[in-house]
Amino acid sequence: MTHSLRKWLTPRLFVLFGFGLTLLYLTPIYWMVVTSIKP
Amino acid sequence: MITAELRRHISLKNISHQNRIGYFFMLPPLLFMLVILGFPILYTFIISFQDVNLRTLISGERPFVGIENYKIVLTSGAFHGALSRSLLFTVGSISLQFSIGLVFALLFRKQFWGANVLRGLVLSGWLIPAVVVGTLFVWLFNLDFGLINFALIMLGLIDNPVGWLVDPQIALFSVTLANIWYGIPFNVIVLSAGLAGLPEGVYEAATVDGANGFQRFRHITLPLMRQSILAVLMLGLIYTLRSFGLIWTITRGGPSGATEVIPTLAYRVGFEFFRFSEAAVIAVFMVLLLLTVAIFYVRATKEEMA
Repeated sequence: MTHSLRKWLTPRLFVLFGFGLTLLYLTPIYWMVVTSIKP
Repeated sequence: MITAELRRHISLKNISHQNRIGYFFMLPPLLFMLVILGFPILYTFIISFQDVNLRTLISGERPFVGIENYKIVLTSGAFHGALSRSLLFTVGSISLQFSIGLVFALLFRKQFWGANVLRGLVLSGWLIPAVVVGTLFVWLFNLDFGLINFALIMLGLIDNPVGWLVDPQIALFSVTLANIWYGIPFNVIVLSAGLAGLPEGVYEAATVDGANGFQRFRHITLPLMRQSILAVLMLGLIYTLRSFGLIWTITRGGPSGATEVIPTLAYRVGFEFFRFSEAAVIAVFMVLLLLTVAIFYVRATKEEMA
């Protein structure tokens, strides 16, 4: 992998990883809201 | 004509007068702290040296027993078990809360699609009361209908549902997971504040010098954030050691004492077994432990500020 490609890719991969981690973190809140609405 | 000495005298007089007013305004919070905080701690300390149970509480006779209660508690297996579980719970919680909190804090420093909304949602976890989070995780960890078992089975990671809260082998792990989830927003808030105060120029200089992202993080971000990191770790230690509501809501210290930590043990001994003196001993131990951490924290932050 060239240096410039790695430089371009690393921050984007971090954001992608963080985005996924955030969604995983928010799952309990989402589930709480959904189950409170569902009959 | 006012001489320099007279002027000095007047200003000194003013200062002492202002000081007196200052002390006067300090009185209400001081009284509040003495009555609301000081008295219960002192009372707990006193009854830890007396024999106070349901019978002596009603009769009013509270014989002084010296350090007998301390001997009973400090040599009991239940106390040692609770202490080791408390330490495991605390170390497990703090290490992951901090690591994930730091990832979130670094992530939300960047601008990407939905960053502001996600940051708000992540921080909203801090606003939820411990009892609500506990109830939420009781549902999530449910053996038959829980989301976690459902997701793991759907992903093919497990064949049979895991008894997250009913298996004594993994109940402490489950409760620690819930506490990690609950503590992450606090870590994000403190670490984000620390990150916001970092000077941009240093990063620009490091980039010009050819430092990559990891080097910038390792040699600039981490050293400059020493104070925030220290604060979040020490406060996390205090919050986690005294954590009661979450564990009590999820497992009540069970199954068969697998999640019994120091605060739940103190509550159980005091208000289920009505052995108030022994509960007071556990509470005194907690106070001393937390006081040590607090003193260490205050001294460390003082040194940082100096």
